[in-house]
Amino acid sequence: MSETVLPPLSPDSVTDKLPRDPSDLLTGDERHELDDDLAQLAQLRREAETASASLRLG
Amino acid sequence: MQLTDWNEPDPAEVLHPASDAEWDAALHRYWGSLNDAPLRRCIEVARSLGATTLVIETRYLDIDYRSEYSAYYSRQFADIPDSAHRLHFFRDKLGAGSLWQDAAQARYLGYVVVRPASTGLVSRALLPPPPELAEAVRTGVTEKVSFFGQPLTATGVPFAQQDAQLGACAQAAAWMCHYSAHLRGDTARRTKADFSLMADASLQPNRGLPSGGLTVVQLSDLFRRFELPAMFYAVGDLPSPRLPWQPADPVPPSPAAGQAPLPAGHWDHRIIPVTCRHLNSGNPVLVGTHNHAFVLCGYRRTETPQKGWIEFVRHDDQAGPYLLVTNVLNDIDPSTGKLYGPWRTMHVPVPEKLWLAPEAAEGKGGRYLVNASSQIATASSQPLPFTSLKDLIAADRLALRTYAIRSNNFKRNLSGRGLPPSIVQEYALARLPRFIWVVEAIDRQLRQAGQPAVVGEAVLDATSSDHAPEEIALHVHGVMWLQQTSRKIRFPILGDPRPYESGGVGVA
Repeated sequence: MSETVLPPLSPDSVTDKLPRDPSDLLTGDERHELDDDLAQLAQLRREAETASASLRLG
Repeated sequence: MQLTDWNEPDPAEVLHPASDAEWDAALHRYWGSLNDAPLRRCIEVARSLGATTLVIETRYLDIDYRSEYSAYYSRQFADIPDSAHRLHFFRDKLGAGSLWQDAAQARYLGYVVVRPASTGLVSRALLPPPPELAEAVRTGVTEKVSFFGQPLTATGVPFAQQDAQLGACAQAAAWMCHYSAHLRGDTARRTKADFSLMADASLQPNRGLPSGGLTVVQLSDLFRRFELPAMFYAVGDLPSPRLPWQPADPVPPSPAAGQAPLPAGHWDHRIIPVTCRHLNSGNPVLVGTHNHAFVLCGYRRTETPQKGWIEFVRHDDQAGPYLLVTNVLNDIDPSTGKLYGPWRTMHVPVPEKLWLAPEAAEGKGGRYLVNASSQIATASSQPLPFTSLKDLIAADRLALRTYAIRSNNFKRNLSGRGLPPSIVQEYALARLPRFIWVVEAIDRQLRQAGQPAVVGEAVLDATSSDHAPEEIALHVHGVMWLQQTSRKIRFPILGDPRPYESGGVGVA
């Protein structure tokens, strides 16, 4: 019989009130806002690449 | 500089200069090049570290200079020596009669390789930072040096000066970043000449030799081909995590009537956090201005001109190693008055599978840390044994520190950082990708007091997408969620809410 490597976990009075899935720590609106911000970051990177392509370094 | 009898004395000379005049005399054959400043700065750094012995190893077959010699100098009409000199610095006195066996006892500091080219003396150098900047420098690496058969080590940030013929400042700066990565074990060795000969000539209109520098795209292409694809940033279009409590993105100032718009390098303060994320990871940052390129290798906080002001440490191939940048938005060297001008671009060569952008990691990690903290605070009984992140934000005490790290190093360092054993155990047993981004929540007040200041962290998969950064672990106030590769969540993992040390490079 093999032994279990990962220790057992038990909730307490605080963690009983917390979501098991960390995704649920953000509301639907907050997740939507995060997705928008991440999409804008990716877009910004593409724009920076396009604008800088011909620059020369000394 | 004097090239007669370049290979003499055989095999070396040993000097013990003590005064400015003696150091000048010891190095007399090198002075008088087109730009002595980088070598002079190297000597200044070595002396600041207490160097008392200088050993000049003649006819040193430096792989970098030999590559330049093969590609360029051997094809010139002039009679150019085919070897370099390696200058070794020791803190203690090492006698000429015993250097073959007593080097390890003389406290080796580092070396400078001098090439016989009057257009650029320092082929490469590896010296520790001067004592006053030791804490600030974050991209140091260690090199093994063979000194007449004796194994020695030197730790610092590799430095190189362009020769202004085969290579320009862009090649020198690229080599500094690449050699650092090589010594970290991230990529294979590339010689200096590779940085000119392998640049894609179709990406610029002029011929490649003699070099007039590199275009931004040539530089990116070189890093890609040298297995260190660079993250690229254009100042003025810099990313930010867009977290509501952080400083808002800057707005370009409106130009006065008839005036040109102010260059972004004068107003885009996002340069600072973007750069710090990479320096916290131990990765140097290559900065481009309108006519120059240099490397940032560290930063420190100062109280002037205001609390929390950031100064950077620069390797400038035309000025020397370990020089201060006191104001990134008005970049003038404080000791020489050299005007660098506004920064335009930044390249950060990194291991290939560091795909996730740090700003995306911080944007997601920061939001989840704050919400987790709030929900733990709500679920806990009063008085709270910790200060919630929302309260830290309200008191302007919350800072995020983001860095990339090999997961093996992250695991190895945990036990020395003051984390609870239960959390260390979970991280040690967790399946992690080779590289992770870590977003730490830091209490500025504790940091300023010199105490352990990390109150939580999010760990993200560096191979995940910028559009959907994958959070592997979330740990704050002694509560941890861990996502397993099976997609199951291990929860609740319990530790304690005591702050602990940062795992990024250098002081938090």
